[in-house]
Amino acid sequence: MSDVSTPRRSVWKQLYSGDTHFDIVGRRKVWYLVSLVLMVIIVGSMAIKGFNLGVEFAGGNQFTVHAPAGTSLEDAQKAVENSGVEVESAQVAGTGDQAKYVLKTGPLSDADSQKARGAMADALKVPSSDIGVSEVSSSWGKSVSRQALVALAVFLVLVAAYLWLRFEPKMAIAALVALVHDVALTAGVFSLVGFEVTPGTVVGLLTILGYSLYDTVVVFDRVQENTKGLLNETRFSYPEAANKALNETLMRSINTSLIGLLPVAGLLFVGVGILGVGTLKDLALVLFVGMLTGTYSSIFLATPVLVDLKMREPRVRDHAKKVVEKRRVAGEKAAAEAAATDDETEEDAIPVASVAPRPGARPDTRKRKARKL
Amino acid sequence: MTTVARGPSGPLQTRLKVFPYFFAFGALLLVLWLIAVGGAGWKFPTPKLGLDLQGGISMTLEANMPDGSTPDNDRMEQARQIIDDRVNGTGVAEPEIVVQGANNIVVNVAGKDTDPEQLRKVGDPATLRFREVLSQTQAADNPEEVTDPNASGSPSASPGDGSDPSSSSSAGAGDNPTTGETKPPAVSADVEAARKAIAEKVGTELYAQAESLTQPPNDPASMEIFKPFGELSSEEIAALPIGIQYNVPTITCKQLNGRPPGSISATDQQVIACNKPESSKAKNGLAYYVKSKLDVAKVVGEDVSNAGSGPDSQNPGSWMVNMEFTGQGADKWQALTTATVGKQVAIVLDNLVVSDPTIQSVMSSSAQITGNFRATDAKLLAEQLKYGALPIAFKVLTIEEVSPTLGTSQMEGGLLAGFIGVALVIVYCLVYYRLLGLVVIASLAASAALIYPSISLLGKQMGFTLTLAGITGFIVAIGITADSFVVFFERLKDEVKEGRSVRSAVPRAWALARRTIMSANTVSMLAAVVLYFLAIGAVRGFAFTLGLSTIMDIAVVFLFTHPLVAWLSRTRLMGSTRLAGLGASRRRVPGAVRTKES
Repeated sequence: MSDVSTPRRSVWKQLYSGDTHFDIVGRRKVWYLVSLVLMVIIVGSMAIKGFNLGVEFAGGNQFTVHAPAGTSLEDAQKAVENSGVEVESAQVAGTGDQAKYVLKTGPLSDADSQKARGAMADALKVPSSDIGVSEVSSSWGKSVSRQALVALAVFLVLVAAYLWLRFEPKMAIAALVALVHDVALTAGVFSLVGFEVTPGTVVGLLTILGYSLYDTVVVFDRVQENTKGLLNETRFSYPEAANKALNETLMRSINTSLIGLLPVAGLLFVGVGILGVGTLKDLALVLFVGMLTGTYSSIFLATPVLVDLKMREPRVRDHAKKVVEKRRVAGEKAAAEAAATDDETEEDAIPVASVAPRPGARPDTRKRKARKL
Repeated sequence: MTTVARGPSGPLQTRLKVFPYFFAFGALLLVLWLIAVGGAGWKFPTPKLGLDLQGGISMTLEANMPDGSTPDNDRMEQARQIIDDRVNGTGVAEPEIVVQGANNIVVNVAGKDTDPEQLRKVGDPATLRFREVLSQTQAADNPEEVTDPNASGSPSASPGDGSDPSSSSSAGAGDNPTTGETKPPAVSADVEAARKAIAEKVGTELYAQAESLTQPPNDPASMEIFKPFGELSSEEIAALPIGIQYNVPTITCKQLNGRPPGSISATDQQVIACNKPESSKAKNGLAYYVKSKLDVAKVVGEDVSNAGSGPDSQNPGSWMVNMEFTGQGADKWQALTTATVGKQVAIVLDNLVVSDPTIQSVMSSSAQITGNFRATDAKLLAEQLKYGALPIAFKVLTIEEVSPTLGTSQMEGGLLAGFIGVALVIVYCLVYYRLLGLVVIASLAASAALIYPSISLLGKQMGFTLTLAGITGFIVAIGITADSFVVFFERLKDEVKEGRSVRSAVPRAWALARRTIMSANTVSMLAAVVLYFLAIGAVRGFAFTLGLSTIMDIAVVFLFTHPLVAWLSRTRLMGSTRLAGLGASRRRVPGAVRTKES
């Protein structure tokens, strides 16, 4: 607003110096609609398509071995099948030196499992101790998911209590809305794309919790700061102040997300590209998707929801009206006087400005700081 | 620090004395490293690696409460202790047995000498019951091929196949009239409902027909008729009345043995259990499974005071277990053997009849269990008897066996991922923050210098093992750690943009950023703690390292990053905002700002 003197710069320059003026809060209906559409799509996908559940949810055995040179996946699969064990899926995971054969079967007895392992070892000419076996009962996936839900519930309660005390109840609610949105959206992406869901994915989903809130907390911290004592003056309405906070922390949000995503990209590259199977892949995928949605929701969902919640308070609503009214009056006055030479009309209308600003000064920042001190 | 203030006398804010901070940080670093190096025997400390990184077997057990409730902590700890004793008793090196979440126990054994079957037994409840054999019948399972008992060195051979000289050969004697039939025990509503569901599943008529059987038919026709019972799950079988369990020929020993742990532990009820096939009763080289109907338990595991194992003198190559009874136990054992001379008594461990010798004479203070055990099995059984039954029944959720080569490759993968991640972050920070990017790098290095000795230390002191998920936690934490710096630097940029000199901007920016960093880290920490204590599986490693990184992040940003930036801000280097990466958009000449501020 007071940047009239600065020549218009590119969006990137503006972002870099934190001078953006995106009206994110004002267009909140649009973001709600976006989130709503996304929610409908993912709920539909979960209901119709469901999830591609890994062996851990059905129960079964998985044999993993480094692919020795001069052998093929078929060799391994045939050997296991010849030993009388039915192979449900066989795949080559990873690339180059890290190429592995991964064979999955239904639940096996120890004897059958050893038989299959021995047959595989003979066919591939490796010691059988080189073949990793993981056996999962059908209730493992369920147990992990159940504990995950318990952890989720406890975390939500604790974090709501913390935000309630540290900030205010409405911020706690808005942050939780964003959180639930992130978790649902991430789960939805897994359903939609058909990524395999393993217990690793479920726990990865939990780890997004902290991250999603982390981002939101930083934004809310600035909102709280910008709106302190707001109702005692009539310069900005709550939505405007909140929007300002969003713009001020926008570069930080982008920076944080990038810095958070870069290591996860490394994980993704190694987990999916090189190893192709296991914990790294499971965690990297879900973290990558979760961090992206976490950034989106902390900017486009948490603060807008907070603003709507705050606008339900009569005094905040009245205050916003007063700000608009004041601005209208000031505008009329300025137009009527028509004597305004080159200066900011808006600032003349501010009654609290006791010291006349020097020409070209930015009284708004000074005042904000005066409050802080 | 010997920095001299440059330029005109500084603003009114008191200048931060940076030396105490650096000193505190240095002291912290020194102490951590000293303890870590000292703890490692004055060698370079190395973290304790998890099984997924070095190879080994990991088993997760879940408490299986009959009513689906959560067991209390005391009983879980008691169970953990017993399992610990049992694993140690088998002579495995450095096993790790921990309680996870509310009802899971994880057993980790490094190296590749343990076979999964052996490990699985460690989680057996080991409830021992001595029951009179009322009748026996051949089960419908496929017979096992008789193998040479002396060849049982291969891990795939199952124990107990071979001859048991002390047991009689009354297999198939299903027509023993059962005397003193106890009235069917009162069943709970759950069981009643389960039976009803089964009756609907197999057909109510067939169910009624099964109920009316008084002895197992052995004609092929009834095998066909009762086929649906052969497809029931073990859980369903466990809910059936014992008459059906015994008499329906299509119910196999495989189904019976798979019943949930504790299904037949009630001492006041008759039960059905199976014997492992014994080669002494083999026909044409095939040994058949035997179903036994057993009386109420007269002697139980708690009556055993001590147990040990030793070679079975009558059966070379095979081992047996010796038991001694407590005073009360000896009386009960005497009473039982007095009543059963010439009859068989089954020694039932959990769902399985380990041996069913014919009682030759009255015995009192001690007894042997022979069953053609391998040495390790006999040892484990003795440990189980000695340390008692688990207070809770467990079922095996997962057994994961990682080969050392796979472990190494996972380790390399994790390190590579971390390396790529750090490199990307460094490049980004240098491009975006220029000089401050170097501060980010120095701070990340400082954080690493704190974390490394900590994990080695925790490995030694607390048994913390670094797993692949843990490495992932560190990699993800790079982002969270770096973010503390980003919050601080963005504040700094704001202040500079508003017209301050870098120097006067630092204290203001810090005061505001500190609050944000603490709030955000509190949330991270909450997530880590909740996950660590409540979740099960690999996520705990992740949560632990995430939490550790968060704490170290706070230490680094307070003791290192902020003082470093404060100190740098007094140097000429940071005078150039462009070089410092604070943006080139200062709007006023520095002089004007100073006058305004003073």
